[in-house]
Amino acid sequence: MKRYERSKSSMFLFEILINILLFSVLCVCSLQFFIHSYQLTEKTTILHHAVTACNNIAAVYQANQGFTEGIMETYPYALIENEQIYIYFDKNYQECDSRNICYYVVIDKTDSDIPGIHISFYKNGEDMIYSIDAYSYKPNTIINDVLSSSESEVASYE
Amino acid sequence: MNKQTKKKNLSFSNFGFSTILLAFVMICIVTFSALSLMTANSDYKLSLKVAEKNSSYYVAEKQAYEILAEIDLLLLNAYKNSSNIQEYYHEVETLLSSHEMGTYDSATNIYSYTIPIATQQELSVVLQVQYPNNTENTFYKIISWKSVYEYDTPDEGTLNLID
Repeated sequence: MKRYERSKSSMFLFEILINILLFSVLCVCSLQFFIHSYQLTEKTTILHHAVTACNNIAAVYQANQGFTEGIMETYPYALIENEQIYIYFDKNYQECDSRNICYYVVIDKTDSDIPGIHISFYKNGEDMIYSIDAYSYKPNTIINDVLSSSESEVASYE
Repeated sequence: MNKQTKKKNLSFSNFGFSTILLAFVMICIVTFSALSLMTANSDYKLSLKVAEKNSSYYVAEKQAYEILAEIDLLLLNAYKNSSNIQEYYHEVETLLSSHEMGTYDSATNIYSYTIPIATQQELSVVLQVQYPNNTENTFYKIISWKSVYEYDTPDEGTLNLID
C-alpha cells in the first residue's frame, strides 16, 4: 500500500515537472509572438504618422502654390539649414522644437521643371521611414507672361 | 474494512488535472498571441499598401502637373496667336484636338485626361478652357482633380431563381 502511494506521488511530481517545462516553452513562444506583434504595431503607427505628416506638408506646399514660406508659417518651429527645411516632432507626433525631437522631417527642393519638394520622414537616429515628392504648378496669366518676357529682354540687353 | 480502503483509493485524484488545466490555458494563450500577431501583421501590410498608394498618387500627380504645364503653354500660345475670343477658341480647338494625352470637347471647351495611379485606379483631371478677360485670369479652370476607381461592372443579365 505504501509502495503504491509513493509511486503515485512521484508520478504526480513528474507530471508537474513536465507541465512546468511545457508551460515555460509555450510561454516563451507566445511571449515572442506578443513582442513581435507589439513591434509590428509600433512600426504601423510610425508609418501611418509618417504618411500623414508628409501628406500634410505636401498639402500646405500645394496650397501655397509652390512657396515654402507657407510651410514656415504653418510649422513655426521649423528651421532652415543648408537650403533644407527641418520640422521636428515629439513622441506624440506633435510639432516641437529641436530639444524634444523624436521624429523629424527634411524638406528639400527637387530638380525638375515643375517646382517641387522632396519630403522625407525620419525617426531620430534611424533610417528614413517614408518619403514623397510633392509638386505644384502656378498657372500662366497674361501678367506672368509679360513679366517673364520683359525679364528676358532685360537679360538679353545686359 | 476492505471495501472502505477500495473506496478511498477510487476517490478523486489530482493526477492529470494539472495537465488538462495547463493544456486549456496554453491553448488560450497561444491562440490569443497568434491572433494578435496576425492582426498586427495585417495592419502593417495595410499601412504599407496605403503608403505605396499614396506615393503612387504623388507620382501620378507629377505627371498630371507636367501635362497641365504643357496645356497651359499651348493655351498661352493660342492667346498670343489670336486677336479675339473666337480666334482664341478656334486656335485652342486646333491645338488641343491634336493633343494625344486627353480629349477636348469643343462644344463645352472642356479638356480631360487621366493618369494611371495603380491597377483600377487613376487620376482624372478635367479642365475648363477660358479666355482671360483680365490680366489676372488664367487660361483654364480646374473643374475636377480626383482619383477614380475603375470597377469591373458586373454582368447585367438576370438570374433565374425559380429553376
